Amino acid sequence: MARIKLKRLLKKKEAVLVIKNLIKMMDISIGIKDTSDQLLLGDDQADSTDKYPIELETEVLGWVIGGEKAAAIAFLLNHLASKEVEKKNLADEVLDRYREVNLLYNLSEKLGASLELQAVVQVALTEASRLIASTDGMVMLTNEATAILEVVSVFGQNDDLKESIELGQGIIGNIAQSGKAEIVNDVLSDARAYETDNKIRSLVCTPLKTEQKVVGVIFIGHKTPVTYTAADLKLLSTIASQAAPAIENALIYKKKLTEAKEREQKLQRQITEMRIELDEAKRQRQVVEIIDTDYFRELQVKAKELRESRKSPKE
Amino acid sequence: MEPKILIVDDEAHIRLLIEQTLEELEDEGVELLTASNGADALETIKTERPQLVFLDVMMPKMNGFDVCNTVKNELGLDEVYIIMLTAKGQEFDKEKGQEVGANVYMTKPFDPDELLEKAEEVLGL
Repeated sequence: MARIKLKRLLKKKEAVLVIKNLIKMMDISIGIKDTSDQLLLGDDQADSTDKYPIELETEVLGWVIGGEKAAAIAFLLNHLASKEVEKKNLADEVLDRYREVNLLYNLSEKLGASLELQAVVQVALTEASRLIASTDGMVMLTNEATAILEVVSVFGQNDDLKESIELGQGIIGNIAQSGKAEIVNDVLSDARAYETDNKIRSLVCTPLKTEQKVVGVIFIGHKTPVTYTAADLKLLSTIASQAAPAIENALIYKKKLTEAKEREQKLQRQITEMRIELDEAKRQRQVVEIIDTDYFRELQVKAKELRESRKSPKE
Repeated sequence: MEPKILIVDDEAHIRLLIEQTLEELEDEGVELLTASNGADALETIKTERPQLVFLDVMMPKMNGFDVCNTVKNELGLDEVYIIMLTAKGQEFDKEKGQEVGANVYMTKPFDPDELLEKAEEVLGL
């Protein structure tokens, strides 16, 4: 079906003005009809001997009816229709770019709202699953110490997907290692497929990269074969490009938080130890205060006299 | 009578974007109209009587609030559903919106899917 309708084209004031002026200048009587023979502009009683098609590529949008000169009007309408389609195609592209910008804007807002790792990862995965057809999806992050990809967030029915994998293992591990995003529309035929990969039939996967390194991967998949396109990969890569720095920040925040807690605990221990020391010092001071009095000295003298008096009767 | 939507914005690219977003409604018989300023918008509303109007707030000479006020309060065209379009970060004067009879507002940049959904909801498609 044609991208535009003749009726809509003839609603454009500028187009109608030009056509009406031309008709007047050429002093002709013509009628412009659509494919269902409905009169859209002009004279219904125009000479119907000659009928000229208004065409867009191979499709006929309508007819200009009248004498020989009606051909000129048909030619003009062909040109206007063609221009209108060009404009619509351009508008389509603009709308696509607008959607992209909108996605980046919204994603940036959502990712910036939290420093918690789970929240950040969840935002990325939720947006990906919302925009790309899928039954399963996952975010895995690299444990630098062990070189294992660990599951941080997952959705879908596939329990096997919740296992950790080594870098380079299976399709996902391979992508994490290579750092290159991929579409795999037929997982079963892929030589890299690992046993857990096989539960997913098609997938699109992209690494989560910061300037310095690959921190993990995000993938979206389907349990039945689908055809993921370059547009899907581009969407996922856009999400990943926003998510990766946010994830890195969340990891740094988590590390700083852990360090702060450890410092706090150490401080608590030190405070407790100092309290004990202070209490001991206080106790000793109190003892000194007691024994360093005349009364206590007198008591000591009396105690000594008593001890000696007890010894004397025996002797 | 086929339902009509009027898009009013002084920025041509916004009119184009909204038109493009709503393009698929044309297949359902909806007619899309546009206006680049408040005065033209009022003329079109009077002659075409659209069921739905997307109306930019910030326009030179006659802003969206004035247009809305004229439509709802002076002309009494309460059946025209008006969605005001306001820039994100710009505080929408909800009180003023209520005063002039705006039905709802949306922020720009708008979500194309949300816009289409709202149009379908208002027109009962």
